[in-house]
Amino acid sequence: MLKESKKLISTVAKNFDFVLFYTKYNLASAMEFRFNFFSQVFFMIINDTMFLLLWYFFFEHFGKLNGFGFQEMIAIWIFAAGSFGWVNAIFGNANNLGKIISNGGLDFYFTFPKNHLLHALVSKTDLSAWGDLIFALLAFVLFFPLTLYSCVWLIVGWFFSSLILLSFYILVGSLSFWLGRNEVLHNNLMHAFIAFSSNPSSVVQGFLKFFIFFVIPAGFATFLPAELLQTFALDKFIYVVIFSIIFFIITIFIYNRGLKKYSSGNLINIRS
Amino acid sequence: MEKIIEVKNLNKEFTSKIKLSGFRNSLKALFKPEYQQMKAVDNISFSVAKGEKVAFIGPNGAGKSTTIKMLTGILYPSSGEIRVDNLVPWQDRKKLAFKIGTVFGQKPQLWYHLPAMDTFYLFGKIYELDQAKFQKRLNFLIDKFQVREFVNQPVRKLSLGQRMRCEMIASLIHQPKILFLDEPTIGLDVVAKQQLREVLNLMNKEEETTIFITSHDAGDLEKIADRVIVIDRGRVIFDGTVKNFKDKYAWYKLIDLELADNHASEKLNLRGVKILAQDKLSLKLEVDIKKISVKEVIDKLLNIYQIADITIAEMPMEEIIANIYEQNLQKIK
Amino acid sequence: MNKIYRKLNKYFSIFKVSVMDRLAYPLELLYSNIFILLITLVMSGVWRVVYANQPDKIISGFSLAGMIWYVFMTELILTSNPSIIGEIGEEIKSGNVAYALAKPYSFVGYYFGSILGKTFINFITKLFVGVLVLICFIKLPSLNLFIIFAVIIAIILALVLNFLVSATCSLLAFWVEDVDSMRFIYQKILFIGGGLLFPLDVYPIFLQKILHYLPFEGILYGPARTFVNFDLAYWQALVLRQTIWIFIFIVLIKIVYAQGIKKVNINGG
Repeated sequence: MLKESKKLISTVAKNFDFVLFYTKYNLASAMEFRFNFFSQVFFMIINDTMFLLLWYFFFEHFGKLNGFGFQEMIAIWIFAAGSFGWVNAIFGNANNLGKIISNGGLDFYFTFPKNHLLHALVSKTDLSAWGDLIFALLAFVLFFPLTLYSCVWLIVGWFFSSLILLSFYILVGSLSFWLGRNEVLHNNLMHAFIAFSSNPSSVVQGFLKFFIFFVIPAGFATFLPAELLQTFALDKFIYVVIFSIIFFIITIFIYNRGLKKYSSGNLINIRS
Repeated sequence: MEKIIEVKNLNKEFTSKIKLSGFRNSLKALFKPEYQQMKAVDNISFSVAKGEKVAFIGPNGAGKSTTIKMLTGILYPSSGEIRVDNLVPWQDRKKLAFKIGTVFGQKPQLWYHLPAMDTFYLFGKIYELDQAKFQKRLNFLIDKFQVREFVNQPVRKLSLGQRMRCEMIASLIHQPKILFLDEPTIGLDVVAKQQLREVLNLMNKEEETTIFITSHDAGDLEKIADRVIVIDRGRVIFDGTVKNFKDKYAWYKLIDLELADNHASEKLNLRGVKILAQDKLSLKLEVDIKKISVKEVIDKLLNIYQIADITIAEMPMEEIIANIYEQNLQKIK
Repeated sequence: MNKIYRKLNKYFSIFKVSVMDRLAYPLELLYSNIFILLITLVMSGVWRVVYANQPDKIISGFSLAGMIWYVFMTELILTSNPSIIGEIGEEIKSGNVAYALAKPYSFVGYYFGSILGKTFINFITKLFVGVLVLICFIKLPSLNLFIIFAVIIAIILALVLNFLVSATCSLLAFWVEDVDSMRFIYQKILFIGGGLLFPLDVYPIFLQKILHYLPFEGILYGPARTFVNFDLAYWQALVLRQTIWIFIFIVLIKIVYAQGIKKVNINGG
């Protein structure tokens, strides 16, 4: 039992090292075209600010809805933009996983002595995502009190939020194992997730609430973490942690099923 | 003979911003940019007669693409004259567009998800062709290029060779007088290349279509062209027939031998044969084909050695051209 | 006369081929409905809460059902367009724009035909599916033959205008490298200026006045409002404004393109 745990820890540590290295490498490569990098980051910050501005006007006009106002909107964005930033900056290929699978691109990663999925995901960085990250941090610093609790929860919340988003990317990407080239479906689903996590959809009632938690898990990814930023609530915290872990496990399970199909070679037609 | 392309003292210079690395330099470049001039085409002149098949070759960056872009009206020259079918390309661009066909290897014209037939009909409209004439022409081309079987299948389902034949039809629908091809055989397999060349020769024979092709491929040179223009560093360094080209510049062949044993009945001593490398069971020879024929050499080799395998290679195209350039450089010096 | 017909027919043929291209994968057309239905669904939930809690802040003329149609309409117009700046910008960045010079059509004209072809099919499918789904839950706004005609005109002008404005921005790719940023900044400006998800009437008055003089109102808000809450005077003014903007941008495109293509010549692209 001890040996197993030690092995697990060392694998995690090695992979963590690998991810850190790749991230630094990707960032360094991006710096070759420094101007382009800063331009993308800068404009993404502007982009997110404009989006938030849209909702500012909304709440200016309508006031708070069931206690949900602009401050809550910012909290949501800290986690929506934050998780989007973290995931796409480090795992820059997350959005391309579906394409990689349908093009037979996974084969390349099998030849290396690293977990192929991890490798495929980290081998690229999305430059503008760094802008989302900086925006999220700025929003936090400017609009929320910097207490020990809020700073700690920022990091922890970002972690679980990103875990859910990353799982969702992998889940949607895995569809390619069965459907082949499916760019339109992929984009519609990802777009839906991001839209849900960045609208004040947490105010909805009834059946829709179920929808935004369990059909597109934006609720767990952004709304609960956002609420927890303002005040701690044990039940919400547990929901977030448990859901993200279970969702991740389910996603990996589905991915592996797809992988088995892929490796059986029955997908030759997909690769053409 | 009627000259369909005339190029006189053509020059093209490009200005580009000097971009140094580093953030500070990027900022500087934004506010106080520095430029450098690059001469892509340096005083070239040539002419092409109607119905000729010209291969326009040279190493990368020699100015081939730039020249062809000026001939088709995409770029205009810094100085010099060009006349294509008596039109000045960059001035009468749209008029010229009706008379020329283009095949740019890197940029396919067929809509990928639709059958080639749809693209053909589209081109019919783009080139403003009369309906009846268009139909007749289309049927003629489809039969000649033998694509009827798959012309109604989505292009993405076709093999490269089939796709190429359809690309050719698309560029020939409006019966252009000249066909400009820029690296059309790039990435094609042997069969596809062969099909393409057959089709080009066919059009040239049947309709006197002038063919102007830039290429890196020795096969294009040998199987299509009757004339070769070699360009390097923006200058023409050879302009003549393919035969002259080979006679003048391809002077050796390589013979690679694998021996069954290292027993030689006599020493190899032939005039014009140089031993490049020798091992226990292998031998690499350079044969100067101006001094001795390959047949003679092989006859001798069969007598001397126990041969397990033999490979004969031509002097690589790159080397031929590099050789030409060397000679050119010597001449300058 | 025949010559002019053939010249225009050229671009219409490109439009037709683009439509066919899009129809090559009917399943994809079905999938493309997913997002718009989801976002309309969620926003309808949000609006339900708004209308329940703040009845005094209701936008005049917009009932709850009307507001949901508004969301649907603005999203419909927005998502029918493929990424115009992305497509044209990439062609310019890669230098492929030059190849159009050797063909007997104009670069922008070609994209006008092909992008509007895609837009048309996207729009029709999403409209059809969306209306079918929504009328199961809410009533259609009051329509008659004239209103339908008016809406169609407003939408066609809106789609053409969106193409022209986007295309003009995309031509900046001749000078600017970061096409991606251009893409999403334009989108955000359109969101805000066009009133995506909620009508411009929600904005403070000073902002509404400014936006009135920009083309974006005519792209999203105008047609959507015409559909939800038809007003003859507003519609007439809208169509006039859209037409004027269309002319302005046609001129702008010609100027910017001429400058840009010159640059390709100087730098070799």
